[in-house]
Amino acid sequence: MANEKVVEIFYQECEELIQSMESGLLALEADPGDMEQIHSVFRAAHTIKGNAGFVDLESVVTFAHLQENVLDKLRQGIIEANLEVISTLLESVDVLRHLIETSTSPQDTDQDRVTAMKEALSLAGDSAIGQSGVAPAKGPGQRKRYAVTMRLDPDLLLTGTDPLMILAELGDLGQITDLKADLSGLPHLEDMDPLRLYLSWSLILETAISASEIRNVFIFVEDHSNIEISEIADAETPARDVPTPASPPGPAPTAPEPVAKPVNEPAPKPVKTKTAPTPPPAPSPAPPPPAPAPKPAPAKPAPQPKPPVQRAPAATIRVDTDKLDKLVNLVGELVIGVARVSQISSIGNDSGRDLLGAVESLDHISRELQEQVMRVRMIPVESTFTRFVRVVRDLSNELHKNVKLVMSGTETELDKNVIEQITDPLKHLIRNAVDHGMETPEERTAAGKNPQGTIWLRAYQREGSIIIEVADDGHGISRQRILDKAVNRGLVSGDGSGLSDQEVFGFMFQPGFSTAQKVTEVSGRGVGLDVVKRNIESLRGTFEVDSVHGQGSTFRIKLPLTLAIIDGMTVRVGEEIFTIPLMSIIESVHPRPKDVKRVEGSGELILFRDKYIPLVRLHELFELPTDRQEPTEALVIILESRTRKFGLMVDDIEDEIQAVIKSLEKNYYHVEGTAGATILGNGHISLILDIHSLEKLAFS
Amino acid sequence: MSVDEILNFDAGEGARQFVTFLLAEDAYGVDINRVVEIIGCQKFTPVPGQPSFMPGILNLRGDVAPVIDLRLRFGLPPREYDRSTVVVIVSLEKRSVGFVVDSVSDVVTMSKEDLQPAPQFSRKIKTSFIEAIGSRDGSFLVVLDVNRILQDKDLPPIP
Repeated sequence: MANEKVVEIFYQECEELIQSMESGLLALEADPGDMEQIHSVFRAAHTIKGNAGFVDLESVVTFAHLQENVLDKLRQGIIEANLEVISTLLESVDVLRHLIETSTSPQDTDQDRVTAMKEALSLAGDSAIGQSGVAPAKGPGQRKRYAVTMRLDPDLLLTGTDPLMILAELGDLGQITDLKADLSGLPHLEDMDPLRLYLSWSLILETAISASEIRNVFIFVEDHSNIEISEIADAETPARDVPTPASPPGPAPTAPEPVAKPVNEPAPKPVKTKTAPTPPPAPSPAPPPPAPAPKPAPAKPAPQPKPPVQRAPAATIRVDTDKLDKLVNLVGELVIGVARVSQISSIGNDSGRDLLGAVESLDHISRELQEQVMRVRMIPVESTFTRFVRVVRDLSNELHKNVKLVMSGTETELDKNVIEQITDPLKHLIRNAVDHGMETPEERTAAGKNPQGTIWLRAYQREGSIIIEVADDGHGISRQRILDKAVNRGLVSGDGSGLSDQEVFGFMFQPGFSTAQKVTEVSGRGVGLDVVKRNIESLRGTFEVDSVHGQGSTFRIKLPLTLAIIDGMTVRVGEEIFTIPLMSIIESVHPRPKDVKRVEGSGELILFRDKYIPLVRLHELFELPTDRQEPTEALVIILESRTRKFGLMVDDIEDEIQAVIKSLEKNYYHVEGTAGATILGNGHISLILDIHSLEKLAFS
Repeated sequence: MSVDEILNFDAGEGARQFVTFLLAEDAYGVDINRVVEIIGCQKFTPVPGQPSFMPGILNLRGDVAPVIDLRLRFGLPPREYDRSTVVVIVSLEKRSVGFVVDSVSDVVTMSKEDLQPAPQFSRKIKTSFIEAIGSRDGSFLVVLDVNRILQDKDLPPIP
C-alpha cells in the first residue's frame, strides 16, 4: 500500500474532485448541451481513477472506469445527456464517495449498492443513441489500426513527463508496430539543450478501442502538443509505410468519430461522415507523402467539441492548518507583547513621548497583522453553499415538491472552523424549509403562488458580524399553531395573546417542539431547531426567525467575524481579574441601597430600568476573597443571556480589551462558568466568563 | 562524583536520567524526557471549584497550564512558597502540567540495576504514583510515575 502521506493527499484531492464532478453534473442537468461540463466531469473521473491507481485502490479504479465509460460516450455524443443518464451519474458519484470513504475499512462497503450502481452505469452506457446518430460502428473486440503521430511539446521534459511512459501506455492499449522516431528536429550536439524535447514519434497501433480512448493517453499533454490519431483501413489492407497520417489533418479524435466511415475502404475517405466537422480537403486516396512529418497543423481540427478549456492556474494555495494555528498563536503573543510595552510606556510620562509614538505604531502594526492572519483562515462560503443545491434537488424530488435554491453572497468569507460547524445547522434549516416550509405545487397554485418555490441562501457582512439567512416563500409560520402547542405543553399561562411574535416563535426552539403534522424521515422529529440554536450560540452567534403566515419565513444567523479574539471588559474581584465579553454587557451601575432587595431563601434582586432582576455576587460564586462585600460599595454589571438579564457584582471595572482567547481545555479541562482565559498585559491570566454557563451555575 | 567520573560514567543500556527535586527533605525524580522546563514560582490564577492541591493555572509562554502542588497532593504538610520553590513543567502527550516542589536538585543518571520497583512503604503517598525507587552511591530517589499523577481520578479528567 502506498505510504501514508500519499494516501492522505489522495483523500483530500478526492473530495475536491468529487465535488467538482457533482457540481458539473448538476450544471449539466440545467444545460445538457454544455460540452465543457461533460469534459470537466470526465477529467475529474479520470483523475480520480489515476490517483486511485497510485494508492492501489482497485475497487475505486474499476468503479471510476465505469463512470468514465459513460462520460466518454457522452463526450462523443454516442449517448445523450438526458436527465436519466445524469441522475444515474449523480447517484454514481454518491456511491463513489461511499467507496472511497470505506476504502480503509472495506468490510463497511455496501457491496450490493456498489454492484447495483455498476449495473446501472452499464445500462446508461447502452442507452439511447445520441443525436448524432452515430452508432459505434464496430462491435467490441474488433481490432482497428490507427496511425498515431506524436509531436509533443518541446518543453515537455520540464514538466517531468517522460515520452517513454506515454509510449508504454499506448503499448498497453494494443499492439504497436512500426514505431519510428523522427530525428529531424535534433540540432547539433553543441547546440542541444538537454531539457528540450527534439524528438517526435509515429507509430501504428492495433487495438479494439476507439480513437478517443487512445487520445486519453495524451490527456495531460494535449494542450501544447500536436497529436494525430487516425484510423487506417482495417487490418486487411496491409499498412503502407508507416504512419500515414492517413487522412489529412485526420478526422481526429473528436466526438462524432468518423468511425462510421465505411470499413473496407482505403482510409482517406472520410467524406461520408455526416457530422464530421471539417471535411478534410484533398481526400485523395493516394497515400500522402512522407511519413513522420506531421503537418505543423496547429492543433487538431475538430471545432466541435472544442478542446478542453485550459484551466487558469489557481490563485490559492493550501495551507496546513497547524501552521496557521502557530501563526495565530504568534500573533496573539505579539498583541500581548505590545500590551506590555504600552503599559511600561504609560508609566513613563513625558520622557516616554517618543516611546509612546513608537508603541502606537507598533500597536497599529500588530492590529493589522492580526487582521491579516485571521483572514488567512477565512474561506468563502461558496464551497459549503453549493453542496446545498444537491440537497434541495434531491429532497424536492423525494417529496414531490418543486423548489429551487437561490444563493447570494457566496464570496463572503468565514473562518474555516465556523464554516465547518455551521454546515450541519444550515443543512437542517434547508431541509426544514423544503420539508415543512414549502407547500406542494398544487397547494401553491391554489394559493395563487408560483408552483415553484424558492429558498434563498444569503450571506453578507454587517456591522462586524456575518449574517447568513435561509429564507423561503413557503407557507410561513403560524403563530396560532405554535401558541396552541405551547399552551398544550404548559409553556404559556393564559392564551398568550400578550406575547410578541418573536416570543411566540421562540417556543419553536424548545427541545422536542415540532408542529409538523407527521414526523418524516427528513425532519420533524423536533430535535432540530433547538440544537441548531445551541450550535450557533456555541459559536457566539445569535439565531432568530421572522415569518409572515402564508408568505414565508426567514431564519437569520449572526456570527462574529473571528473566533479567537473577542472584545471584552476586564473587571476585578479581590485580587483576580476576569474578562466579560462585551457583547453580553448592557450596562454597569453603581446601585443605591434602595435598589437592592434581598428575598429570603431566593436570593438578591436589583432594580434596573424599573424592573427587578436577579443579582449574582461573583465573589461568592467563585469563592474569592474581597473587601467589597456589599453591592452598594461595588459595581454591578448588567448582563444579558439568552433567557434573562441579571446583574453581576464585581469590585471594579478595569479596562476594555481585545482578548486573545486561550483554551483551558488544551492543558486542563473545561471550567464551568468560563470560556477560556486570556493573558493580560502584565502577564497575568484572566479567566473569560461565559455568560450562559455562569447563569447555569448561579441559578440552578 | 568528580568531573572525571561524571564524564566517564557509563551507565550502560537501559540507563535513565531524572530531574530530581525535594519535597519535605525527600528526593523525588521525574524522567527527564517528561520534563519540558523548570520555572520559578509565580502567582497562580485560582480557578473556581478545583481540588485543594491545585492552586490554579499559570501562563506558560502564552498557553494556560494547570499547576499541581505535589506536597498537598501527597498529603504532606503545606509549605509557604519561597524563593527556592519551583515549578517543574512536565508534559504528557500534548498536555503540560506544572508540579510545585520545594526546590530542584541535580539531574541524576540511574542504570537499570540501580532501579527497583517500589514496595509499599508509605501510607501517605499512594504507591501508584511511584514508579520505582532508585539507589546509587548512597543517594536515594523516589521515581514518580508522571502518567499516573496526571491521570489520577481525583484530578479533572483529561478529555
